[in-house]
Amino acid sequence: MMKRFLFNGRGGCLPVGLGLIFLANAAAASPVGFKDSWMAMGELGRDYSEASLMYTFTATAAVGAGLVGLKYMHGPAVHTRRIDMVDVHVNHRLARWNFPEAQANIYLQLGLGQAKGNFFVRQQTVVQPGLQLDYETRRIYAAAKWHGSYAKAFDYTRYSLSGGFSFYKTEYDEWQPWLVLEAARKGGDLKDATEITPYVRFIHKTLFIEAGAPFKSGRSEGLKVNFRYTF
Amino acid sequence: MKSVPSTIKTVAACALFLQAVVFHSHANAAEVAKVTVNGMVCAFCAQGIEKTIAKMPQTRAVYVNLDKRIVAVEPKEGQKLDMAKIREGIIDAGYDVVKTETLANTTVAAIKAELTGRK
Repeated sequence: MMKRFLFNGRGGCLPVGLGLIFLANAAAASPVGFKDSWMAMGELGRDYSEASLMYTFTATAAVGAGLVGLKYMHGPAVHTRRIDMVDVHVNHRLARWNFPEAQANIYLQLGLGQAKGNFFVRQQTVVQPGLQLDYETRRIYAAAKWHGSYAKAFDYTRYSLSGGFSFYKTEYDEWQPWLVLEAARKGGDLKDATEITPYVRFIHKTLFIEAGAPFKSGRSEGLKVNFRYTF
Repeated sequence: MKSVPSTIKTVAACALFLQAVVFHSHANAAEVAKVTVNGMVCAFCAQGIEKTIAKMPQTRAVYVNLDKRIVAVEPKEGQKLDMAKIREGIIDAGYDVVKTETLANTTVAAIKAELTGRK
């Protein structure tokens, strides 16, 4: 699907597609790496998938590019809307509070790209703002996130709250397992039911990988996998 | 009388040699930087700091201990660490420096062993 979008799209898509998406990388912690680092990120799920690459050029700002594919139910007739997007984006750490045993952050995100969907004819410019607040210690993690994808033909919004804990403290060169629970509402009109996703997360040095099993209204929504690697 | 200039030369040579020995041994005495950091709560934080400090030309070894919130930096032989740069690097990586110390005649490996109880 992404391939079609990238190589069969009309002019303007590919150049803009130097960009990325990323905004919605809900469960993948910090959207800004450390200065002069590269970050490869991905999310794979039944209704939402993305891949992105970003470069952190200051301690508080990163630029990236990527691809996103999403689908959601819409309207009284309840049909499935499918959207593919490419974009470039900027992520900025607006504030950080460092404590002896904890850290809290506020991040702003803004993406600009092109979108193609099954319910509109021509590609459209899409704007993707986002906001993330998080708090973490070596054993506890909590985050609140908002992300939107807005074009002339659609508006897709996602809110999420997540929290989790690690089974034990580790040093940074040891594998650390976490359990994280996320509650999210998403869709064009946000009338979609709340999606609950328990995740198992593993962190080792700069590798982050997690797998979740989302369910909505008591029904399984398949599996989700998120990863991030910084180098 | 003829031996006086020779003795002076010998004494001067010995003095220069001793000075060189003292200077050389001083240069080899590792002065390790030990920095206490706030906000360092994850592997990602530790890696960011480690990579930032490791890029500095004087750095021989870096060790980050999340438990004790310590970053230890050892210089290359004959080089001196720039504490201001280390501090700046940690702050640039997004963390707060709360204390800096310079420890003489030790190594990062020794500090690691001391902090972890492992050799």
